[in-house]
Amino acid sequence: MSYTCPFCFTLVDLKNTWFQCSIPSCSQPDELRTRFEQDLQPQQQIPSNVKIIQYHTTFQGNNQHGGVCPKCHRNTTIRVCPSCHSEFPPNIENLSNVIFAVVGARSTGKSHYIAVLINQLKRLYNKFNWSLCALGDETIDLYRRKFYEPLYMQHIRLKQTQGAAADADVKKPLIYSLELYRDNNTKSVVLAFFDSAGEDLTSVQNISKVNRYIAHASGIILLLDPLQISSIRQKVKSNDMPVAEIAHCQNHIIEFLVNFIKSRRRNTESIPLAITFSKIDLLNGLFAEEYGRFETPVQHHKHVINLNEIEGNSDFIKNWLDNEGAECIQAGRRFDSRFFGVSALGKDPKKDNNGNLIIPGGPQPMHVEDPFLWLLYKNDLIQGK
Amino acid sequence: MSSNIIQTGVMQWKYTSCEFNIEGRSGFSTFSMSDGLTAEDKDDLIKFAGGYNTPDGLPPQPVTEAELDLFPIIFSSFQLCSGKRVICRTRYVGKDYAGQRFGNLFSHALILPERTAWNFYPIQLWDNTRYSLLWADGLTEEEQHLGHMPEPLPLVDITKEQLRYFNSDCLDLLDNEERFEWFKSLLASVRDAKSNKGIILREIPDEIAKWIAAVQLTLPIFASQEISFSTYCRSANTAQQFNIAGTCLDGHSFHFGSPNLAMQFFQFDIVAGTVDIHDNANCRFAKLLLRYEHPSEELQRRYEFAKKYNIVINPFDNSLDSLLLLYDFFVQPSSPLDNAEWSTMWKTYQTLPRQTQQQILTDAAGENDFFILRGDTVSINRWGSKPQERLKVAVPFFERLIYNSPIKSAFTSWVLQQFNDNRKSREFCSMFANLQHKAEYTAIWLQNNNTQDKELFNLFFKIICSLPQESQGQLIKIFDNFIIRQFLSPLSVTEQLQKSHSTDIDNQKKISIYEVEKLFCADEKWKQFGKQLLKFSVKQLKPETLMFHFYLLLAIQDEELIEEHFKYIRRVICGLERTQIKVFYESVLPTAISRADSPQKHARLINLFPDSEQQIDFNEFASYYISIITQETRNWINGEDAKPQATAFLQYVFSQKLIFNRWISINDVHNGQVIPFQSQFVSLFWIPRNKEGYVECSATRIGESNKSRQDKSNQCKAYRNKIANVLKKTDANAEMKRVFYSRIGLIILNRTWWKNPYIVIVISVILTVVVISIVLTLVFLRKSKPETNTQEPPKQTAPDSQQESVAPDAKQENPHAPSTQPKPADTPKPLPKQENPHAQSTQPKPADTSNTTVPNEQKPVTTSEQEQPKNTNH
Repeated sequence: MSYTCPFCFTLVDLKNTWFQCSIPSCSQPDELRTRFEQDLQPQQQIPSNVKIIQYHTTFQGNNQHGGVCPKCHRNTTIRVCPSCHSEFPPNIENLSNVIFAVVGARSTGKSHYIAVLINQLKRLYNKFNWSLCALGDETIDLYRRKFYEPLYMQHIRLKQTQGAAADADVKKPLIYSLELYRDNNTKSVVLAFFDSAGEDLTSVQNISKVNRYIAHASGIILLLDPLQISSIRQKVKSNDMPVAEIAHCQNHIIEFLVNFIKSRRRNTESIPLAITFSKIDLLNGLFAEEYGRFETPVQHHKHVINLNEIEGNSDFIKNWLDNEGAECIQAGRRFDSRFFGVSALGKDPKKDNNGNLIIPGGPQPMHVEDPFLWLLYKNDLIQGK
Repeated sequence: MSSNIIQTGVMQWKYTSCEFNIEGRSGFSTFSMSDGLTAEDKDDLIKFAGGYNTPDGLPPQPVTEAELDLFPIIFSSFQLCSGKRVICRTRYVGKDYAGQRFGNLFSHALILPERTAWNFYPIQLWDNTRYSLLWADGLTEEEQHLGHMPEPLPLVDITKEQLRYFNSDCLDLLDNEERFEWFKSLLASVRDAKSNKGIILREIPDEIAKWIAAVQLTLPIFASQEISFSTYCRSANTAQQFNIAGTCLDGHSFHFGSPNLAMQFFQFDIVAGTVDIHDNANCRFAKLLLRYEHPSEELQRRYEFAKKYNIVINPFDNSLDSLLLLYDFFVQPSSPLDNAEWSTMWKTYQTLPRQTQQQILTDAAGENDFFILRGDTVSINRWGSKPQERLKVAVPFFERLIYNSPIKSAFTSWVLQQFNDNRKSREFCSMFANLQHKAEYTAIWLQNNNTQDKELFNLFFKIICSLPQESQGQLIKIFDNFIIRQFLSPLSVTEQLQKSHSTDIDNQKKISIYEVEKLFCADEKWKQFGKQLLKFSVKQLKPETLMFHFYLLLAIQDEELIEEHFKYIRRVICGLERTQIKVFYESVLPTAISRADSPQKHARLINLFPDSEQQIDFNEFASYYISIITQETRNWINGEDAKPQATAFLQYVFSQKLIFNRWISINDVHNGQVIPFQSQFVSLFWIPRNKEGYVECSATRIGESNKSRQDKSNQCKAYRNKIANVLKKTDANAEMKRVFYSRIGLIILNRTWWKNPYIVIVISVILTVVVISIVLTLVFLRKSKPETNTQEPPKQTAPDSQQESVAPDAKQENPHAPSTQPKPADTPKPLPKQENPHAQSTQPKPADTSNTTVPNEQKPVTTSEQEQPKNTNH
């Protein structure tokens, strides 16, 4: 039995379990942990200017369920990853890991999307008969502080995400356990959401250093900003119009991603890729004029996603983009891909008295769950019809 | 202007979210940097200084300068992987270049080329104000709208004007006892923080800079750069990169006091006043800040001191503190050391190579310094209009360098002069090389002050020069070994004596009477010189020179001098310190007595015993006379005429009413050769059981014997016979007897038999046997009594048991019943009327537990009441 560490993606044999002493005063200088936090390769030496951090005593246990700390001789049941010493969720024997990567260029709305998606998944508990629980205090704190409070309480936009090298919070995944209640049994999966700064996705080297999770992802949500496509940009008016990035930036990211995943995995065609256009609410006017679609959410039935509608939406967006001459859609051919249109905020932000943008009433998301549900379907976690 | 430049060729790096930058893509990236920085340096810089996590609770969308100033700046100093040193200032700037998204920061770093160090303390570049000349607050308008890739940043120079001096700030900060205690702990933690655990400081942002400055100022500049710091970190993830990390008052994610935080950090929550007090908090290190206006310069001087003497210092362990102590002691005597500090300093000093030790010492004493010995301490004084005391140290410290008396200095100066002039012995030259200039000075001083000394040494010089050259060296060696050393380190010998109890003395260092005799009685010239020396030194007789003087006096054997000088010696003994008294009575005087070959000499020496006026407890030294006493006693017993000295001696000893018991116990401790004599002595005084009585008695007998010859001889004969009889027995198996007496005899005599476990056990066994036998006989007797008496109680108990079977708690009451049953058996005759009611009343009591509160007076009434129903039952 094995388990992939959601932090360092090492495949851990659960028979060979490592434990961490539960007493905080029982600690030791931890080179492995330092290496992990410094993103160092195993063969790399720890640089002289890096302090080896003091961390909980870790040791190999005698059995799967518990061990006695060799230092303080106390029992512990906290299981950790042998290669990065990160704490595992308590019932990993019954869990399978599903890592979802949300990637995209700068200011395509990755953070907003993740923030709204997690909240939306919690709301869908009844429709899909599941429950979503944060694993660990860090996830709760991180989500509350970085995503929920600004967006849902203060109704302001999220701050720019800093590079993973500079901000250790960015490296940490948001880890949730999703329990799916079926007729006969209950299935649990660990969902790891990685938010990332667009700046970290600008070279294969960078991706492989700080965004290794992409290679281990069970599904990728590639966020694209339609406002970066010049033909669309001209037709849309927004208070939050992003700066026209250097034209090929968005396309480059797709190429980097493809190259990176191809270098790590043999069969890219099996990886589900949800090519998702964000800020779709801004295009609603365009759609209404030309196609009259997208105003109503996809009607999913209980426990089952509506594949017809998802496929229909995907074809619609693909065709529409084809007409607009967007190059980015060609990336989809390398993967098992569908096209989605979402809007995390659901409306254009407004300016307050100071000229700052605010979201009156908070986010009113459109279709944000669709790419995620499709990825779940592709991972055989829910059914489609 | 150029003279004010303190550092040139400093590289720059600027990082923010911007549109145009050297990466060629918008967003967070290095805006530009100086040539000389590599891509690895850039990544490293981003890791340390490319992030800003805002504290919670501050405006989420700050726009105005006032709002932005609420966000603490991050001022940090660290080292890159390549070894380049960096000082960086990071500011939260709110919106990014696009003007809509918040979360932007601006970092401006100054980087030194490899293998160079800052010429100032990194914290001195601290500046949290806007529009600083050195630090950029953000990109300029022009830089934001460049339209092309920016040029590399120029190298900058740092001038003294740009530095901030924290000296007065630190004084203000630490001008509080509590804070100063914290600071000491902080310093101690900084040393540990060089390992794995960091330090987290919670304080007002400006104050954090002061704390860090205070820490840095206690280190030399080069060492201060080894401590990385950051004035603001929001969470442990970032803080653990630095040795010292500050955090703001609120809105951070540190849970102060939590065990998880304690695992990674020493916590200094200054605002709340909860600080991890370090066990090994060191004060000398910290005192520097308070004592000097420019602590860094003071520190630099100390480092130069270390460099001069090749003392290896690690600023992050105790060696720095030791250095400060050494420096303060030798160079800066105005700051006195306390006892603990002195011992630390002394240990450090001892670890230095011998040459370095001498060098430091020689340098420490200036041209105008002279030494004065007072008691156990030597002080180095500076000559001037009013002599000033500069150093004060314990004697062993100046083993070879004491010039307290003119004799010593003159001897030394003469030796030096001779051997440095003639270069006869290189060994000696090197040995005394360091002494030379002080010796010369002392000689000059002597010349000016004391002409008598000069004459004396001229004489000495003449004597030595008249000897053949070969023996000169020999003579000097003797002088070195037995006189100079003796003079120079009198108390070190004292210490050795105390340790070895005069049995195992290093002859190299101890001056002995034999050597003195050998030297001064060898020749008439020497005798003459000795006399002069005595005349001269008696006026300056001091505890340190007493021993030599005493030996010399005995060696010269000039009756007049002895008569005269003994007075002085007696006087000096009175003024001696305890340890010196001990040495004198334990070693010096016994040796002298044992060497005396005429009764007169003995008598004279005995005169030196302390009298009652001197308030000296002679018992303490008594054990050292046992060998002499017994030897004398043996001679006396063996049939020779009673020696007057022995008589006088014993008379004295007895008049002191010494407690011999104690002597013996002392001698038991260190056995050795003394034992045979001792056993005789023991038998002599111990066989009569009333020991004190006997001693007094014998003393009076001897005392009387002095008065009339006839009496004396008769009594002595009688006594001698008595002793001889005893000795006949004791000689054979003296050892066995000794053991016997000490085991059993002494125990009984001392009335401490009850302390002996064997005796106690035996007695207790006997007692128990007796008691048991008495009890058994009593029981036997009882059984043999007529049975009629014993039949009555069951009659009384029978109805009770019936009652009890009705009562629910019957079983619990049974244990009481048997205890009361024998009572009637013990007192069978007065059965019913008065005592029986009491005996019986104990049985129904439990049934009437509710009546336990009834007053005692009513008890008889109740019992009679209880009896009545019983009777009716019958």
